Amino acid sequence: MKKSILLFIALLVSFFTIDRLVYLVINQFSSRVYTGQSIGKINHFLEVKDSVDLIIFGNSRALHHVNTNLFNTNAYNIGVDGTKLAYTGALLSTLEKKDQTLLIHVDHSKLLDLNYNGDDCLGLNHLIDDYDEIKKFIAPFFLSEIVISELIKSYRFNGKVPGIFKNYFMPSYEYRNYTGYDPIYPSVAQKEIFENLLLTEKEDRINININKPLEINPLINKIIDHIINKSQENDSKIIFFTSPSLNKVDQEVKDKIEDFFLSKGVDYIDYIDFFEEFNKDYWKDFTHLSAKGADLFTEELKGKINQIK
Amino acid sequence: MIFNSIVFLIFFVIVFILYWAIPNQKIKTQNILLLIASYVFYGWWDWRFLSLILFSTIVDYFLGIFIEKNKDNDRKAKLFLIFSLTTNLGLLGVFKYFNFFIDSWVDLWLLFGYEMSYSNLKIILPVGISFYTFQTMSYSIDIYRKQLKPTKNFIAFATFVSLFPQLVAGPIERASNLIPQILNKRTWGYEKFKNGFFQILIGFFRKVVVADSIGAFIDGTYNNPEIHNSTTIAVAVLLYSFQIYFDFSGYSDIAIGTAKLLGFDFKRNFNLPYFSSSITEFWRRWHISLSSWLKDYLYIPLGGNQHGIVKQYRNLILTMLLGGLWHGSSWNFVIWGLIHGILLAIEKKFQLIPKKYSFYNNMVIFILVSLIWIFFRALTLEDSMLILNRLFTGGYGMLYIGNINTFITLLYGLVIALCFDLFLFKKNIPLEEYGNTLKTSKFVIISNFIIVHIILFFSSASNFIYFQF
Repeated sequence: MKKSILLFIALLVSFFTIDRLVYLVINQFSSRVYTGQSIGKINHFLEVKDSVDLIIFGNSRALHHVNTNLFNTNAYNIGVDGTKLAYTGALLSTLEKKDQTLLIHVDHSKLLDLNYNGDDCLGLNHLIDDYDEIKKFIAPFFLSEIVISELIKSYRFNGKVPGIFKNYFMPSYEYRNYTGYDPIYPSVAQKEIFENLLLTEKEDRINININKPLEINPLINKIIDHIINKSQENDSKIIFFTSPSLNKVDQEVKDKIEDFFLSKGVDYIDYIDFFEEFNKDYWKDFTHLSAKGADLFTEELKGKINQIK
Repeated sequence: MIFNSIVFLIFFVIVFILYWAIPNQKIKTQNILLLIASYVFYGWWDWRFLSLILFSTIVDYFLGIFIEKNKDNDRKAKLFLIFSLTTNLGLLGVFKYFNFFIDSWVDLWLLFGYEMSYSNLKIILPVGISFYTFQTMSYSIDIYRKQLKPTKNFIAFATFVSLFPQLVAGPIERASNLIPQILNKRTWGYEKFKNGFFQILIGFFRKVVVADSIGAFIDGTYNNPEIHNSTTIAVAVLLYSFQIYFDFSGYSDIAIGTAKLLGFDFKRNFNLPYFSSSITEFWRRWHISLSSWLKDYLYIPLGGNQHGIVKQYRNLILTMLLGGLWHGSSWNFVIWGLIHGILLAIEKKFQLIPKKYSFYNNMVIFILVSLIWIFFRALTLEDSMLILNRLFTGGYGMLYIGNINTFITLLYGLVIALCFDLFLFKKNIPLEEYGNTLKTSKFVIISNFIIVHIILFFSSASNFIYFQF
């Protein structure tokens, strides 16, 4: 038993030493990466966030639908694939600049998803040492994750390593000219998949992933309050919006969301039905616009923002 | 509670410390602790189904004693055996197959144009029921065959049925192997610790780095095969073979390693199955505890190879068909088992591929097994046919990769795992004994390499595939 305990102690000591070393090495690479979504784009955003006037937050639908290059003002699109409102809330906590315009993308189904637990914000836990605001945002929801991240440092880079090294050695674009918008030019394979989907689609795409009776997720409610408070602190203008989608919702859902934002006293624009007629060239799939569709939508959004401001 | 969770880690650390801290390692106290821990482990998923395990335990405990008491009266002993089998198969029938048989019955009438109105029962499949019922059935059968004496120690028997490392997805341990270990003093050993700890690490790597990354990549293809081209489908078909292997062998590794840390020796459940040169060899290497169970308790009682070649074919096909059905209540599993049965039967008569080129044989068997896995993974029979159709009718185009990070992680993990398997195969060392072959310094370095890789590359926790069976 004694020999086993000694071996176990050796394993523990060596593990914690190696863990710190691995963390230091990856962190060195990570902090020098400015391309790629999981790390580089966030680094870039954190560098420019307090010098731009307009920021677009959200998931892949924000990322691919709002062309920041079409705005006359200095803008950055920090949409990241697969993220939701908690991720936005955590990032938005780091803003210091006053008088910005903040566009927050929201989806009806996500606001009404009672199973959502905010775990997308854990994608930012590699920043908890450098950004206390992010740590403070994550901690109430995922204290155990923070504890594990403190104990096992390399845990913060789970799932991010291939992206870090790929973007360190082979950055896919010149980040200094990048404003965060990623246009979609559907590939042959993507076009093929979408065409097959259109052919096999049998049901109406209405109220997908929406359960009735309609209820706003309490966590989302809390995060939205946090976002509103933060924007008020910074005297920033905040606008929530939903971008075009072929996944439609009925009037009851639309009313529910509009009433919710009305009760919060913030602007909300619902563009889900922006394209009245279906044109295959505007879409990559049911929820993502092609670059062509995104440009048309951005022009409309730009006009509307100017009106609101 | 699943192995790949923080809850299990905390649970196991507590059980481990308490278990070895018991003064003089008193067996009775250790067994009571193991029994309580096993019920907590199972009850964490759904405490209501503990009653099923307890029921199965009580019934087979007493029937085992009754069978032994009547060993000289075959009629009575057989009656008690039938009671045991009926009870266990009855539980399986109700909880696993009830809706399947009802649906199939209604579909059969529909073929003749008669539509029956019916409603399905909402039955939840209790996790691990297929495993522990097989384990208790083999106990009763072995006693009836006079190959085993029943234990009078109820705690020991209950621990045998519910021992948490193997409770929910095997390996299906035989009473003749496990009960003596439960009844006798377990000793701590440095070698056991090294072997067990190392196998657990390999199991976690196989499951959370390799299998889960593959799952994240191929689920989209298997869930919507109609929208993908043949290239994407072909890659998904091949990758699924690796996913199910690393998922299930990973689970078995964690189970066997965990048991080793508690002083138990479980039988080997996987022996590098994709290094097989025939389907027969594949089944000697894949899910060994199930295939040997099916052989001993189904194939041989059916007559095995004792009554001519035609009956042997029948016995093989029937065994594999029922083996398929054991995996799940759907025609997909039946067809999967049936194809394996037919191939095994053909192999008894003809050599499918020449033995001369072993590497090519491995490749051919791998591809063959991968094609048969389609029935195992596809959601419906229609999807299976669609996938096969896509594979053989062309339409090959660009591979849909999806998230590049997931894809790179998948390839990286898969290459490491396959290289390690190749190493074990070439060196002819069982994984169960590999940890102890390493010198302490090498053991520490390799263990840390694996742990860091698990931390950096694990994919979000998902359940083990075999939990659904």
